[in-house]
This record gives sequence, structure tokens and C-alpha cells, in this order.
Amino acid sequence: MKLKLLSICILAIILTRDVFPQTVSTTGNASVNLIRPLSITSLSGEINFGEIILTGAPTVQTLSPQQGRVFRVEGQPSRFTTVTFNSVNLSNSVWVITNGGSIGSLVFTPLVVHTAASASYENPVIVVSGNSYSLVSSAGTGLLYLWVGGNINIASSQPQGDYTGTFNITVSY
Amino acid sequence: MMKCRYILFFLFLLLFVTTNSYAQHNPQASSIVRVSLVKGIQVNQISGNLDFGEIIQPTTQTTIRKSPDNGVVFLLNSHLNKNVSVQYSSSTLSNSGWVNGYGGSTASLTFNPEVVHTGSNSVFQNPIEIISGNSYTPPTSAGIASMNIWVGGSIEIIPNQPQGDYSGTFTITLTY
Repeated sequence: MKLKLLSICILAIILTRDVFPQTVSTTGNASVNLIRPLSITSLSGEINFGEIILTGAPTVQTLSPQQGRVFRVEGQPSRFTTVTFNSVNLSNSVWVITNGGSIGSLVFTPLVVHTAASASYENPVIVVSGNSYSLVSSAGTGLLYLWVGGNINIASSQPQGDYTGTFNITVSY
Repeated sequence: MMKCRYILFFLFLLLFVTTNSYAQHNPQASSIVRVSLVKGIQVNQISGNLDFGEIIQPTTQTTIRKSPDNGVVFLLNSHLNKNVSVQYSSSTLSNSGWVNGYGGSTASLTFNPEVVHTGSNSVFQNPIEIISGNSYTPPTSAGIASMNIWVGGSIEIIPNQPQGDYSGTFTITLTY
């Protein structure tokens, strides 16, 4: 009897396991936004003030962005990119080591503008470090042209020599 | 409870991984900034003059010469290893000022300069002619570019040249 009852139970378990299978399905949207990576390329020009003859009087020398260096930023169209840059310390120490004289320093204060997606210097807009600017769509690519000039203050007793320094500009999403 | 903790841990881990999958991208570009500050040209008269002194009126055409080492000396200081262009020309001397005081005839003489340099040597040795319009590189000594410029010249006096004190200005121009 017990064996019979056990057999019935086992058979019941086997049969019911296949009678009520759970299969539930539903749909949902899967998506991903592929963002064009940001890049910045130096195109042309240089930040070179040339030769300045010392007169013994303090002076401010200015290099317009149009005559400076041009960078092209590429990224996702219509996405905003943050532009960051700082003043640069220039030094004549390398020149003094070779030629003698006094070591001096100058501060280069950058002046940066953008011309949106135009590679020509048209309708420049001042760029403030830390602010964000839209990458303008051009044939599916977001573009921003950055033009860099700036000025330097020369003191009345500024030592002579060749001054150099490195200007860095960073872009980020 | 333990199972719930594992689930929460797994979800947290998943969140961490997905957050790092979209890390910020901050490309940077650089540019060298350059400026060359050039020492201004300085020139000072060190010694001497271009005074030919008293000359008895000659009866024949006469050329009076003052050699550069007996003339006026200028010291030029400038930027290291940089060419300096030197320009000068003849000068006209006139006795009009003297005539205004004493009378007589107004006349002029021409001073024709002779210009040489001795580099950084302040002693008149191995002089080198300076041709107006040419460029020269003052030699460097002890970190300073300098050049000693010696100016002499000649005056031609014609017979019956009117008497009087003749004077004029000699100008030498130095430029980068």
C-alpha cells in the first residue's frame, strides 16, 4: 500500500512538473548613446611675440588671437565642451646659462576666442576658462575653433634674453 | 537577510563598474610661448673731439686730415650676437655764426668722415674700416656686446676760403 501510494506521488510530481511550466516574457527598449570622443588639434600659427627692443620703460605687448595659434576641437555635435587654460610663466634661464646676464620671468596672459565651426577668423567670441561652449555640427562632427593670443607685461628693468614657456589648453565633456 | 545583502552588494558593484565605463575624457593641447627681449642699442661718446684747430688760410687747395685715433671715440653696447647697421655721411660746416658776429663772407666746408672700429678693444689697435650702410656684430666680452668706434676725417680748403669759425654736426646712426 505504501509502495503504491509512493508510486502515485512520484508519478504526480513528474506529470505536474511538465503541466505548469513558467515562461514569462516581456519587452523593453535597449539603447546606448555612442559619443564621439573629444579631441583637440593644433592647426597653425604660433604664440611668438618676436623681438622686442628694451627701452627701459615698462610696456605691454599684445598678440591678437588672429595672429596667434589655432586649435580645432572635434567632438559630439551640439554637445558642450568645457575649455580650461591658465596664464603661463616664461623664463629666460636657458638663454642666460649660455649667454650670461640676469634671469628674469614674464607672465603670459592668454586671450582665447572661438569662431564656432568656422576655420576663418570671423565673429570671434571670447572664451572664458572653465566655461562650456557648444560644438557646432559640421557634416556630422561637432567642431569648435579656438584662437589663442595674449599679452605680456615687460618691466622697466626686465632682463634681456629669450623667454619661453608652455601654454596648455584642455577640453572636456 | 544574507541573500539580500549579496543582492545589494552585486547591484552596488554593477553601478560602480558602469560608472567607470563612462569616465571623463580630457584631451589637452600645448603650444610654446616665445618672446625675445633685445637689449637696446646704447652709444656714448668716450673721449676726443673733431676739432681741427686753427688753420692759417692756405693759398692753395689743401686737405686737412684728422686720423680716427685722434678724433672722437664712441662706445657702442648692444644685444649679444646681433648685427648693428652703421650709417653716417659727410657734414657741412658753416661760418655763418661767426660772420654774424664779425662780418665777412659766409661760406661752407665739407667734413668727410673716416670711421673705424676696434671691436671691444678700447686701445687703437688693428682698426677695421666701417662702411656706411654696412652691418657689424659687436664682439662679446664678459657677456657684453660692445664696440669702440673711432671717428676722424678730412676737410678740403679751397684757396681764398672765407675766414671764420666753421662748425657743423656729424651724426652716426646705429640700428638693429
